[in-house]
Amino acid sequence: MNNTLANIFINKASQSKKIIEIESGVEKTHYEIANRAKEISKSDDIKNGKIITVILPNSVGYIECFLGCMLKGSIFSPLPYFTQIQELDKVLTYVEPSLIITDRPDVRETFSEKYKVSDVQSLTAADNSFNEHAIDINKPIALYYSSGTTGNPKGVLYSSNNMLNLISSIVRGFKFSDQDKQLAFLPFGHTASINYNILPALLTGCDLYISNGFEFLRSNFFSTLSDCQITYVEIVPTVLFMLNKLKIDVSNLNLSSLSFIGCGSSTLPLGAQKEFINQYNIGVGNLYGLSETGPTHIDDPREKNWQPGSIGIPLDVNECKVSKNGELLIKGDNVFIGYYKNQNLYEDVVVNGWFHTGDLGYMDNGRYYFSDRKKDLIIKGGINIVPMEIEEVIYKHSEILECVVVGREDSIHGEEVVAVCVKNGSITEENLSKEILEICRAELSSYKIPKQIYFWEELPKTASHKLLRKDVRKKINKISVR
Amino acid sequence: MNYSEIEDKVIAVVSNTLNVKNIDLQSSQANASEWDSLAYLSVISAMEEEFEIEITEKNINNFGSVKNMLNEVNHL
Repeated sequence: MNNTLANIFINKASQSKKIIEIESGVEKTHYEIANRAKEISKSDDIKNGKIITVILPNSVGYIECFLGCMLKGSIFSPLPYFTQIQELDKVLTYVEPSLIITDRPDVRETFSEKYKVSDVQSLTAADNSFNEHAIDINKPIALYYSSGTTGNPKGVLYSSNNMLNLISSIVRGFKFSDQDKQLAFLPFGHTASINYNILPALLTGCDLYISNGFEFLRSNFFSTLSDCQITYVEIVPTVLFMLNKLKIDVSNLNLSSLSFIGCGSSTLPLGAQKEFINQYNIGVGNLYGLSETGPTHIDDPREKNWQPGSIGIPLDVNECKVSKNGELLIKGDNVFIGYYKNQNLYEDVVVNGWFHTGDLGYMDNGRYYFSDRKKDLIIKGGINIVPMEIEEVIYKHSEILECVVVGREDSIHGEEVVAVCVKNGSITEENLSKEILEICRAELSSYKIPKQIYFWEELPKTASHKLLRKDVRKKINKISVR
Repeated sequence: MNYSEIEDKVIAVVSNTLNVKNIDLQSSQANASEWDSLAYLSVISAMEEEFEIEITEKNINNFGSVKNMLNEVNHL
């Protein structure tokens, strides 16, 4: 038998444990889900070694597709549900999926001539027998697309071996068990929900509650934790900021089942973390990880003498060290096997097995601390945005001489997208701003569109004319705009 | 500010926050695909700033549609 996460789940799928959609009320036992996953894996459209792009909301169907693809040895490639059509076009051209699974009519309408498109319900078994497919555990089983420029897209390839080792380590590190009740509400198109909630719940065989998003839980967030006796939930700093603001009265709720709350995907300011802990008397761990490795550390507030501020200790799946220039490096079975169609980039970032995270940090007394990002990523509400992707779109305007996109600190999203341009010609700044936004609206998903566009006479550069992106970021963050 | 001005302002806040033009009185999370989880929090934040509203446990459910937000502002 293949030792894969999907097989482990299928073989112990219980009739008593469930996955429950909170908003729709749909609930299915693990046993039912396992049977449906087997059926999906037998569909002629799910092919071994081929990429299956999934554009689905948070749902049981999404998980069944994930399992079905894993059983068949297909490469599961989730995309955020609300990705704009123009952007999907770019991503799909790069990914070249053999099948798109979606319930979005606009996706079907736009892409069904170029790609095979199906909904979940139409994936039925070609025959009734279930034959286990031989899976090479070192071959890719997931392709996590993260944004990039046209010339340098980034799709992280994760093998079955990566996945099982990572999730087993998370289960040990977070002390998850089949008695847990997990809540997953972050978008399933991103890896946070996959790695912290979905896959650990499948591996341990525990109950999993699914919500379509924080906007559906809103003021009911804590009462949902109480009513469902949730033991673990993963959030992002944006949600924590909002919960801090809301000052919800939890005095009458029974939150005794909750082990702690994990908060990751972008920088968690220490002040906000402490405010949350003081306000709600609930431990919140500052979790660190990247698409290329999954979570790498565990910051567990249940530890004796635990203090907020660090990202904790490395999970047992990987080693962590700090390089001479202060960069966090990771080595272990969780380190991805390649960037899709971009081997050169892989060789740049994985050297002698050590993955160079591009993040700066340090270690003190066995605990690791994140201090800054070395790379130019903007992280808005936990979602990674590559500034060059937006710059590439802005440069399409003929009046733009130079352009740089940076992150500006934001009290809700952590960072907000801001563009700084040098214009050419006599067009007014107001008109040019409008035209730039038009281009951005046509080509980018809404969360990537600059919140503000500045026009400067020139951009700061080194003597060798290299753009000083960090100087722009610093200057932008000093400008009072609120 | 009269009702019509408030209405224009609420629509402008949503439109600017979501970066879409076709926002009107009927717009809500149910019919504007850009109004997703992340945008929902952006809209709340922008409304707080524009109208000096305090978001609380009691009113947080009123920011998923232009109509509800308009009611919220008018009850200030």
